[in-house]
Amino acid sequence: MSTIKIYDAKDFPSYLPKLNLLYDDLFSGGKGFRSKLVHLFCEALKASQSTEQLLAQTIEFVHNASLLHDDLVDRSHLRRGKPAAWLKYKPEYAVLAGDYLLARVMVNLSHFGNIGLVQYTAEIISDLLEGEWLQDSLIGDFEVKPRELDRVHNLKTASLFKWCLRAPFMAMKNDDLELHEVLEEMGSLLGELFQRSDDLLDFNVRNHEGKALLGDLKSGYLNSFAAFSVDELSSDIRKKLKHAENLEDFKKALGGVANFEKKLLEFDQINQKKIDLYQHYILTLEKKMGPQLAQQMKALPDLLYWRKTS
Amino acid sequence: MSSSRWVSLEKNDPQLLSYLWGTFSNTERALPVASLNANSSSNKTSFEIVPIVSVSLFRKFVGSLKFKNLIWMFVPALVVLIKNEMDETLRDPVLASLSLLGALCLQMGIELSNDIRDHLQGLDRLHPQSWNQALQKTWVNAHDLKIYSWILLSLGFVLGLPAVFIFPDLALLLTPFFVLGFWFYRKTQTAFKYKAGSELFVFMMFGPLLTVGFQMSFGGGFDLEVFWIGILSGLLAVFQIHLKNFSYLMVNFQSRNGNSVMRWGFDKSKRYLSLWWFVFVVAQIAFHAVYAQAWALWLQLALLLPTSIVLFQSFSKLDSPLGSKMNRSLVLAQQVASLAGALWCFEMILMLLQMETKL
Repeated sequence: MSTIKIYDAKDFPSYLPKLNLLYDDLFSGGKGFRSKLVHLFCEALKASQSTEQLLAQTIEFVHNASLLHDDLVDRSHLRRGKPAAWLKYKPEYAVLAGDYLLARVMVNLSHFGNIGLVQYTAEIISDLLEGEWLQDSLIGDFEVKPRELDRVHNLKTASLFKWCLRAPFMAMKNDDLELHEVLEEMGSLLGELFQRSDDLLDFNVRNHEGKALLGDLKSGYLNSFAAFSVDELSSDIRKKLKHAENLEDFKKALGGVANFEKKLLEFDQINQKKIDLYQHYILTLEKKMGPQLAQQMKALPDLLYWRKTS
Repeated sequence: MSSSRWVSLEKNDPQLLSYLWGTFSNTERALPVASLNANSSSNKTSFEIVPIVSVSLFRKFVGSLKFKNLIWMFVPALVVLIKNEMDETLRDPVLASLSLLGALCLQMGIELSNDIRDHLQGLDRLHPQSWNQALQKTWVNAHDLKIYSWILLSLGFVLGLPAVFIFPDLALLLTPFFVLGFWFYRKTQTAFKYKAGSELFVFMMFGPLLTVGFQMSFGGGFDLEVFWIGILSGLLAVFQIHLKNFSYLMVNFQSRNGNSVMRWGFDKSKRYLSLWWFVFVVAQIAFHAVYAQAWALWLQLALLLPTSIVLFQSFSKLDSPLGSKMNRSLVLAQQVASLAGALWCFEMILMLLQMETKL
């Protein structure tokens, strides 16, 4: 994996120094989780290094383009602990830099010459944008239902996970319908689990990275755990949540620490069931691709949902 | 850890049908796993295997029926019944009751048959909220539903037979429609209710065909008033279908189910729904101006107009297919439509009582 370099200033025009500076900031500090996922599959499929490079770069470009746009839409001030691009440079540059990354993706994939992969990537990008659009329409909506958020997250977050799992097979011209169907469902589940775990960080649950608390709520967005917690509660309680200044206020509005813990336990149980379903889908992957890849994929929910680092 | 067990079966797996019908085990049920990927192919079906929850036969049967939907047949039937009572054309109350009961049985039977089709074609995994509740709670399997559906359809047919024998014109009216409907039902690959043609079918079934058929079975024959009542009740019933399709717009768009709301898209559908309701309100008020007493017309104007304006405003403010604004608009639309139905029944009963008192 160390040989894959996602970002190289040489990939971008040297006569646009500010663009390069912006990308330097953007690409440093990311964990590159999605490109690592692509690597797992490329390795199992024995894809050439150039193919792996292209796919890894594609997913990171799409992901980082979405971050540039996302931060501007959400007016987030920080990205990876540094000032967000729209704030450090200017909003117009953040938009253009995001668009430019997406354009590079299409240029690079077109050179590769696999029209199916180009089409699938374009579909994923449009899903991502649809999800972003829908999510923005839910800002300030404290009556939103968990199942509605699932739809948004399936478009916005899970679409990239699905791509990571399916694109290597497409690049290697493997069109096994059954396999793609299973990978699509696995990608959906991974995306959902990742998003839900990320939403729990807002409430200081398994927050090993020390992420700022109640960020979503303060931005007027009821995330998946918050929506689940208040699903059967009255509008009055939802109003109280809206004005929660800190985690204690949130727990108090839910009826106390014990209620918060109860909701968390229920939420974890629902997600454990999703993990079980994901493990069931792995059986098909194992049948088709052998035990090594399946073994590596089995461990992902521990990392993505339970945030176990070892 | 959850105690769930999962099974995935390919389309051509010989065991698939026994899992779909629920006959693979006497102690367990196979619930299709819900999916958010409406545009994905469905070469394989995954099931969650869960233990059966045992309930009485009565609870199984009653739990699988959708009583809420009966209102859209019950309202026009009651209106026609009272109209005929007032016109003194109700010759045989027993025959009238049998016909009404038969129509209700047919409706419940058709709905169960639709649920089975959704289940067998895997559509319930995309629309988990519209699942048959008894199936979801593992009280029944698809095979049980099929039996209930056949019982209800047969009962509906038998209960309707006396009216057809006594008034053979009824057969001439109903047979071509049911033959055409059955042919269309068999021909379509996806569930009937997701097709644009089903809207016309529902309009006829809950509209002119129902009201004219009822009146004929009461011995009243055909008149323009009963046809108009049919148009109104057909508009009301199809409005329900449009509301449901509007709430599933995203999923239907992704799975390319071709109903009219899906074809209009979100923004145009808002106007389409408003227009549909506007046409109903205008037709309802015009009907009252022609056939009802003045107080009934004023009642309609006083209640239906302001609530409809609130509904139009609610639709026009919608800016997303997801979220509470959408949910509130759908609930409001249901309430306004129910109010229209209830108001109609209320004034008919009041008019009947008025007439009885005068006598």
